[in-house]
Amino acid sequence: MTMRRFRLLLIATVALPASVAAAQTSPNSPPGAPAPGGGMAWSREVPKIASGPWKGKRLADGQPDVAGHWSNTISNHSNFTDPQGGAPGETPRTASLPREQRAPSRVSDPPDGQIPYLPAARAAQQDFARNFANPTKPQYVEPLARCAPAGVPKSLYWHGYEIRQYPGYVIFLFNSGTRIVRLDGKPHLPANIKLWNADSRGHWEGNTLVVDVSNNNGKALFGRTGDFASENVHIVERYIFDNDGKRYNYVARFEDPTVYARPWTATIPARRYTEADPPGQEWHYEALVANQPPGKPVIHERMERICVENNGPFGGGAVGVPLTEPIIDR
Amino acid sequence: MRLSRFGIIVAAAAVGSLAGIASAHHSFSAEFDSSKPIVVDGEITKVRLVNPHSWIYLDVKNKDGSVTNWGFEFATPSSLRDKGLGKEDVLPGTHIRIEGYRAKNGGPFGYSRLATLANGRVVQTGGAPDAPTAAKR
Amino acid sequence: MRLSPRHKRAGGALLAGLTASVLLGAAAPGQAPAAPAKASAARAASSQIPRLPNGKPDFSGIWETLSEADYDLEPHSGRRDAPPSAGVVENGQIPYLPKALAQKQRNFAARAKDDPRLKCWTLGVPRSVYYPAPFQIFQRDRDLTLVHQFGHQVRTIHTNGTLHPKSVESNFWLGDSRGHWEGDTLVVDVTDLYDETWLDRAGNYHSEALHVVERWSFIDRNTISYTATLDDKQVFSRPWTIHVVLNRREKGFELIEDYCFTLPYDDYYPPKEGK
Repeated sequence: MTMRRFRLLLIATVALPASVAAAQTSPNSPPGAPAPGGGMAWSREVPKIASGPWKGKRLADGQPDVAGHWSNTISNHSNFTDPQGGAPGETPRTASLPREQRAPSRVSDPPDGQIPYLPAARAAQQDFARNFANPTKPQYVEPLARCAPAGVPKSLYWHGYEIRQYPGYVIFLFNSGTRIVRLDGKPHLPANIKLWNADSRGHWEGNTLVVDVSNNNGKALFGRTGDFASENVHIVERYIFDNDGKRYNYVARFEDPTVYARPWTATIPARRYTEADPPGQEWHYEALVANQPPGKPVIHERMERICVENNGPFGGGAVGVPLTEPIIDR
Repeated sequence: MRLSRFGIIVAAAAVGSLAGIASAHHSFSAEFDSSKPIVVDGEITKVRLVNPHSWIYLDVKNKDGSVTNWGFEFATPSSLRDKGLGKEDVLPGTHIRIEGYRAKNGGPFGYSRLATLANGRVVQTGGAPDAPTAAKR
Repeated sequence: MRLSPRHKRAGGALLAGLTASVLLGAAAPGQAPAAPAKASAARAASSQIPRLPNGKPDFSGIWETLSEADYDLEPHSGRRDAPPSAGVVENGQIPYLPKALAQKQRNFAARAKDDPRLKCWTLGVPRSVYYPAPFQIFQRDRDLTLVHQFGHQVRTIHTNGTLHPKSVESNFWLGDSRGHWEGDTLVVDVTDLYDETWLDRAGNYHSEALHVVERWSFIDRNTISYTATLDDKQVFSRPWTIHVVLNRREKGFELIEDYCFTLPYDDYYPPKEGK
């Protein structure tokens, strides 16, 4: 092996979080060490988790028990196809690295990692990205910066969230919005009802929660690069849970003939936060230690996250924000 | 590609520290204008120390004697605490001086880089990774 | 879950008493209380309420009030923006401190503009419970999750013995809710409320010192009696209590997300080329 290759290999190995090294060696520290000021350190790896039987804990109604605090492990909503490459107009340290040293695109199919837009949709996405850093018009404000719900799939990679389960339901409590996945086999809402968080009907297949998603209003966007789906999108999601109960991969097929030349697949890895994780990581899991009476075990709970005012504080500096007038008349 | 030993360490550190802060929620440049620095001082009227951005509002006297209520964006409550600023330091009715950058929407909003509290203590408050640092004043 | 005969008897006697007090509590203010139910009828009613496997009443489902409480908690005749109502406040009027009453009157005068519901802001507690829009309760041993259709706001009532946080950096729109069971009644203590919510459309309001104690219990399997006692030393001269009845929505009803605060900018998205 040449010195050059050796050095590259050394970089690749040193740069891998312990969890990936664990695939080849034994785990010695949990992935995502606390970062200064809180938060979790991002990883660039996408573990392989196969669909199959569930061998972990179950709830009384038979569902795999996956309730708890979760976060994606790669990065936030700055850039859908180069998640660690920064938002338009930003140059984080990682942007100067070779592409392969950053996390792969969230688009896992097609292999080029790009959303297969129709030409007009591609032009619209690029127009948004060009204007994101200097939004002179309201349509260039990323809607999450206005407190709009993060929608599907952006909710899964903004901040951490909590999954709660009940007979007939899996609910996702996000920092901006709530998704209720109904497991009762009832049909979707009428097609002309379009929602930020869409309408979700799911069922379990072994370790995989399969969710059919329609009634999407297409307004949430996928993030700061302006990637998007329209209100015609149909999404089939597979939440594939590892039997160790600590990880899952979100693998979802997006189909929208008005925006995409062909269907494509998003893959988003996630990890669960538990009491065993070191403190200081709570930021992207959005979990904090509950106040327990003396002698009781440590448990985590979720703090209220309501970002409701469209006149700030969140997004208060952006063009077209704030507003103070009444909105409804009912 | 020739890399010195130092180069290896630097590259590894860069990738290894993809900290939550560095690729965090904020996009300073989409909302605030680094070419428009501003300094205001006045009496605090409202404080919201919330994730992901805290906000402090203050009544600022204009030259003509009128008063404008300004809102300034701060970092998360936990990182503010790390920098030495808690809710007890910014009580409504007390004085504060804020140096920061104006909002792109042209309204009475800004991003706080430096806050001088009523007791004279100065706190560096900015948290956005793409915001100018103090060195670039 | 099948109860042993001993548990049934003990539970039944307790429930008879509770059911009677619930029926009394649910009577409209100013009217004579309803006659206490017979013990056997109460036992029958209690065994018909839904229960979790752990035996606790299960409030899961979608609920909505038929009452006029949100228009104005206090007794009032019909006006342009509210139907008439005998009110839901025990003893009729809200006991404001003098300065606070002046603020309430200013709120009332400006309500067509200033009611935060008009901006689709979170409704707070207790208004979110009697606002005329459905909310869904999801219940498990450790907590109840209330998802409100209006604004899709979410409140968690912790029933796992945890306490209010020792301190909070900023108060919460829906407060911090910790509940415990007294027989078949869920008693919830709500603190740390943010002061930018109103109590109704008539401008009744509160400060960050507001403290609410809620009592949730079944009248029958499709009806909940909800009472809330509010105390706020900055606004009211003494605690006061409201009663409303919540009805289960019809079979097959589903919540539909209503984030009305996005309406002013909905049309800007998704991106359209060149616009």
